[in-house]
Amino acid sequence: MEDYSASPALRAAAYWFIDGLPEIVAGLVITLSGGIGLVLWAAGLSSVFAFLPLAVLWKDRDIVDFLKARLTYPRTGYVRPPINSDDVTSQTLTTLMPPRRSASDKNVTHFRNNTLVPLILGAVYTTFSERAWFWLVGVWVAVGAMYLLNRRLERPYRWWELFTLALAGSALIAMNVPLACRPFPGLVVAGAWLLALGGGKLALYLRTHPRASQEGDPA
Amino acid sequence: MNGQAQQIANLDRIVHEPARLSILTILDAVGEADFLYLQREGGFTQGNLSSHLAKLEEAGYVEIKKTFKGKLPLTLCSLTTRGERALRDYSRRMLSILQKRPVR
Repeated sequence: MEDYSASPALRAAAYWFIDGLPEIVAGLVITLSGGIGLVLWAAGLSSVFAFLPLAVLWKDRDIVDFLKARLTYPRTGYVRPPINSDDVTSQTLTTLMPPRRSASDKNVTHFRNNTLVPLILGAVYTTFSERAWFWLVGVWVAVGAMYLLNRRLERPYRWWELFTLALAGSALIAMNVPLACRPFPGLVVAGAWLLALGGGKLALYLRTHPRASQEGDPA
Repeated sequence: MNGQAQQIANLDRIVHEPARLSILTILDAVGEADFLYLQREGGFTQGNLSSHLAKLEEAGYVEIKKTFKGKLPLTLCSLTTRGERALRDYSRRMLSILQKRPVR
């Protein structure tokens, strides 16, 4: 919320990420998915069910909103949560009406498309080949895409945040993970990375915004 | 009075005030926000925001409703259709005035 040159809509969308809760929820789900996959693979069972928890990511907004009603809204106020960018696309397609505003002037979040999808695809991509360079390319392409896609949007990443993710992803090569098990350590790393980002933001947010004694009401 | 002076005199005074214009612009962009968010976002004091919101509500530009999010009481503010129309009309008039300004 420091960028006062941004449009009110972009600032409202950025406000959704002020407390790190969207990252924490998504991080938990992705870590859980990767963890289940590892357990199922170790037990010799079909690990296809490990991807089921990822379905929660299509309903994460309700969970995040529930948590925000207890943590964020009493501290810094409520603004209508941003809609997902893919919902805007589907609205445009179904109604055949172009959006009324430009992309930077909408209360929209691209988190699912520009962060979660590259993270999950980056992890799945590693199952396509045994070669180390193939893995490396996948990790750095996913990270580069995340940087470029988000840099002017509501949730831009600092270079070192993504560099950490790329290093962690690259380090997995040294573990010599079997091909069949490959997406799961990647998912665990991606989820842990999101959790760490979100956790850090939440700690900072709670420290800088102590809870007000009562609502700053009376209009 | 010349045409441009007439146009300026006809601007909606409710919208023309900077604090109220700021509130309307924020609400137009975000759809719905509570008192605390508007206060932080616009840099208003509690009393200042209250009085401007009261004027906007009186003019029928803003709807204010008390509601609950879980157990949290919220004072939610949103633009009415009339408020949206007033803001569009104001920006159209302002643009037309400023576009006629001599270029230096």
